[in-house]
Amino acid sequence: MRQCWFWLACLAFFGASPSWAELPRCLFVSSYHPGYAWSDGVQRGIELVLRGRCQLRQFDMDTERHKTPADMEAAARRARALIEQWHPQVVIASDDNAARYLVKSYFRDAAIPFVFCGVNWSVAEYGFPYSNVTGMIEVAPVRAMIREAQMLTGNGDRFYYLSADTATERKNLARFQKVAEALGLGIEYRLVSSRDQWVTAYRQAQDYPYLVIGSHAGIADWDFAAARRAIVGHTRRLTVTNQEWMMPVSMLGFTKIPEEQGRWAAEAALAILDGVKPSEIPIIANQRWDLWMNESLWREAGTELPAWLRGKAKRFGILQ
Amino acid sequence: MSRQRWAARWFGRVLAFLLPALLTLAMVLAVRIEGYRQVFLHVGQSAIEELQLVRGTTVAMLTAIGSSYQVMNEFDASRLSALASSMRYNTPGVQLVAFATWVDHGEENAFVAEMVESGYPSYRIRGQDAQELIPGKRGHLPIRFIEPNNPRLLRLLGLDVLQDDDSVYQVRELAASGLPAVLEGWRPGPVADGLVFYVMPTYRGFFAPSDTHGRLVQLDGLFLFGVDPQMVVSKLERLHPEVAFVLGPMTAGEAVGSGVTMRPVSEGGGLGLRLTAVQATLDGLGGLHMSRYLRPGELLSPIALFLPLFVGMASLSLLVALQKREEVRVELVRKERELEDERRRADGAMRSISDAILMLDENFRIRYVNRVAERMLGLDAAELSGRLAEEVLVLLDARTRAPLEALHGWLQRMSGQEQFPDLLLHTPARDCIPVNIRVSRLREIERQGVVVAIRDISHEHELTARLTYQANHDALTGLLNRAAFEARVRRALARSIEEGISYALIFIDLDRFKLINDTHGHQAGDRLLKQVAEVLQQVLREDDCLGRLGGDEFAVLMRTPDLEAASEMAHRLRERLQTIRFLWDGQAMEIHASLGVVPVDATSGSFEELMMNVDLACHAAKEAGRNTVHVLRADDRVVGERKRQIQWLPRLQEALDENRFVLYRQPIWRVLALDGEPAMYEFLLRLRDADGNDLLPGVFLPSAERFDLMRAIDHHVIELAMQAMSDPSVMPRESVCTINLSGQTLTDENLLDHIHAQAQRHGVDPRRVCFEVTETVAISNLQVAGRLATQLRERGYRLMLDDFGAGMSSLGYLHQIQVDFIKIDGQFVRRALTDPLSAVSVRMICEIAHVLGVETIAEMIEDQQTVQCMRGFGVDYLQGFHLARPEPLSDLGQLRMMRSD
Repeated sequence: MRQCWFWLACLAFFGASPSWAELPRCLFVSSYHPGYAWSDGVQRGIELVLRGRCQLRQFDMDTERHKTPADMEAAARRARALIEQWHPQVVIASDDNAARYLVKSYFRDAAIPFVFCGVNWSVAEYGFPYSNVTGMIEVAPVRAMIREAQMLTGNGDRFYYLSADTATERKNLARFQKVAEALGLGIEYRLVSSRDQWVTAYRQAQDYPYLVIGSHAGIADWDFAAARRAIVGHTRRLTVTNQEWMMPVSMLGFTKIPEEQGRWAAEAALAILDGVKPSEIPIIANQRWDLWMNESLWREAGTELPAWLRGKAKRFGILQ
Repeated sequence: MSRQRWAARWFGRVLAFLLPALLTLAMVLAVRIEGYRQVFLHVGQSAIEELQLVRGTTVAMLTAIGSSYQVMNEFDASRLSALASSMRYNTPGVQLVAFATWVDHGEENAFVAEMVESGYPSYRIRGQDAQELIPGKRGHLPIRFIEPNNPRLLRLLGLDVLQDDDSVYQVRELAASGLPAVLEGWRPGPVADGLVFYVMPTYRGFFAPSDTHGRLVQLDGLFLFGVDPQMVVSKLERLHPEVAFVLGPMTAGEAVGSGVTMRPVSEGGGLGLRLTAVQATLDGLGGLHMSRYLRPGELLSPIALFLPLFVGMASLSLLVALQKREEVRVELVRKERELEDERRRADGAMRSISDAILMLDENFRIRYVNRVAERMLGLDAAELSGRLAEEVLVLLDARTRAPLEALHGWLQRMSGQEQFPDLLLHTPARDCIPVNIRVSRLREIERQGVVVAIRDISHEHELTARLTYQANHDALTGLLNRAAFEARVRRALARSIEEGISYALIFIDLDRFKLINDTHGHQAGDRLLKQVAEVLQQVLREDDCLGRLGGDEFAVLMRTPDLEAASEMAHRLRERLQTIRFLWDGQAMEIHASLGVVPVDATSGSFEELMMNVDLACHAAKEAGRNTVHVLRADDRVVGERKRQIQWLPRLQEALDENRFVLYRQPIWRVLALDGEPAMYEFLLRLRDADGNDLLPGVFLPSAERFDLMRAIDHHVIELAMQAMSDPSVMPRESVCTINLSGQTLTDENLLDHIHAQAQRHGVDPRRVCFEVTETVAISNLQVAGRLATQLRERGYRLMLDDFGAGMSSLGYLHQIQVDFIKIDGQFVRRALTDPLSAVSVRMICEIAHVLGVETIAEMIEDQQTVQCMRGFGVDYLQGFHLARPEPLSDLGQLRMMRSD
């Protein structure tokens, strides 16, 4: 009964709001699921811009938890069905799986405009730009991070890369390999599928000057607390990451800002709704990243922090 | 006021309102417009300052970011974005921050590849071929960074700043100067339409080269701040919503700076004013065109309207006040003239009036006196002026002759107009004179004084006293007249009742005074009355009050302890009067008087009863034989009888009104024809009472005579008799009838006319009518009776002296009265058989009558012996019960007692 009243109230509110009904329809297709830190950040950026300016609807492909090609294709079909049913004026597609399985598969040069975001490093594999597609590529400050790690660790000749075994992480790994090659550094990597593998690899990586922590997304039994406990007493080397959400297990973070992706995509969607053709909007990379430090890990490692870093980096774990 | 003057006045008032009002309105408008103009200019100046501020801020920020870039060894996108975002946020009008990097000719592909590799897959250099900045330095300046990375603005990515020769020239100049400046005329496309680009060159190395050439060689890139002047304008418009700002090119001839163009325009109803101005240009933005429309409501705000109205009204009020003042002045002059005329008239009036007039100021000091006042007070105006009124007006109470209280307080208490009669004014010339004072406050000029009018009423007092005396006294004798005397009696009666004081009232009636009046004239009568008054005053005490009630009637009111003293005084008066020997025409006449005395005390009843009683007492004295005194006592029989007579008065009146008098007839036979028809009939009067009984005349006639009703009764009898004589069934056709006339009727001037009218009305021959007058009445009214006898006989009527012989001593008057018959007094006839004197008297009367040629009638024939006796004496006619008793006429026929109209 209470539910009935709730829906009646909602119906009355939205039905009686002609302005809401007259707003353009904007669909946000997320490659991941609610609760995933990156896509949640993207969503915040989108909502920050589009709230009150269009009817925003979200579809989660949940490809991080259901990551078989069949699952992702099925999710893309459902998204397409929704698009065909709801007829949004613009679609924002976040991250690579949406770009690959939805945009590339069904909407290349279609009438409906698309704005992608969160696509890592390059859109070459999807053939972007299409006439109906523009977007923001997700670029991590890899070079800046490696350069800083090199300086902090005495400019060794190699480093270790650890992440989940996902397509995204493989693209990230490729980028790191490219940068390492450019800098004349060697890179050892381990892409894992379980927490134990991750812990084992982490402990093994203590022989390298520093460790790059990739995303845990794709590790089914990932548990930050357990991972945190597992590395206590076993961290002797610098750990760095480009993912803000990996800061619990990283000493230093050069992190991308997911809200930048969402906000830019939303503004591009508004421009398209105002009549700008997607092809007129160049595909760009994100411009912002931020600096984080996990002070407790630093202390556990018994490593002295450089003064500039101690004064500049945002503290992770304080009041969070 | 004439119509033209009225029109001119109002025309002037309209002008007085309109001209200042319009003038003020124009001034107010001018002031307000100038105020608006100044504000408008100030707004323009503020706008320019705002633009300058924006420019200054922009230049400062641009310098800052250029300098930061210069000193940093690596300025990655994130740092640049953060810095640019902060600057854009804090610099008003800055819409974008961009960085264009120098790309040497030949390095274009590597640069683009790097950009693609950095996440800009679609990046490319857009523009002309490589431009030569300086010899040896050829390349591009493509935009590689934009903040914000707004999708719309991102279309500028890759755009080569070196678009044309002009831009190359400007970049060269900028690079050479090393200072921020505007990149004029650079049009990056519709995305940045309206933006003005401020640019700052950056150079390789940590320091900008110090020389121009070095700067051109080491040019690394340009920071561009895209400023939207319209945003500044919008801000200005928010600050000054009443002003419209437009940035645009200036036209030739436009005044720049403080010049403001004003022109009236009509927008949205009503005529307003549009202010336009152009402020100096900035950095090639053109002119700042400003425009402001002043609505009529702004120009003519309520206050702006109020002031002209106020001034107009003030001017109008001033004019009206001046006009009023002029009117007042004219009116004042007119009033002064009128006042002067009035004053002259008043002065004349003051001089002419008989009252003394004193005008006092508020302190009751004399300010003006007229001549009468001067005379009355014995002082001239100069002496009186300024003196207090109470110093010169010494007033006394007229009755008590006590001085009045202080005049000052008296005047203070009075208000309005008051009169103060019965005062005495002490004057130096005439001692005290009676005055009436009328005091009036001068209401029109409150608190400015009073007017005192003093009237000398000495003459009125004397006149009043004289009139009062005349009203209360008899002019002939100087005694109190009836009214005054009766007033004294009323007061005495009241005092006797209230205080128990005893008085007595004496009524004096001269006996046979009428005879003296008639025989010797009124002068004799008046002389006698004066003498009587003197005599009476000699007898009376000083306290006794003597009055003449009228004719020969006097009265005395005296205070006495008992009635006997009053009786004694009455006797003394009678005796004293008896001593008078009144001489007139050589004849000496004795004076007698009848006096009635009544007590005046609580038993006297009302005043009317008292006066009636004393009248009755006097009549009683007269009836007692005259020259006597009758004292009214409680059981007075005589007076009681008189009162009964009085009681008859209303009954007689009723009888007359109700026609209840009836006639009887008694036949009179000629001695020589006693067996035949009666020779005459005497009509006898009866009064039929309520019970149908006919009352004899002796019952009611005294009352009728006493109260002067005999004329009416006689007239009634004449009418009845004439009516009866006209009826043959009542009276034989040839019979002679006698009708009795009273003494009162003899003096009736209308008697003859009445008799004749009735005779004519009823067709009665006058020769059949004989009127009987008693000898006593005839003697008492000898002249009248003689004149009446003559007149009756001239008209054919006959006259008979009745009760002849009762007077005895007056046979001589028969020469003065011509009669046809003498009816011998019945007392002589009745006693003729037994009383020789009566017999001789009858015989002598008959002989005298016969000598005079008058026939005689013997009445009261009660037996046959008397018939024989009378026949022997030579009596011509007989009448009496022996021969026939009186019989009512109503028994003889159908006579109707009808009164004439």
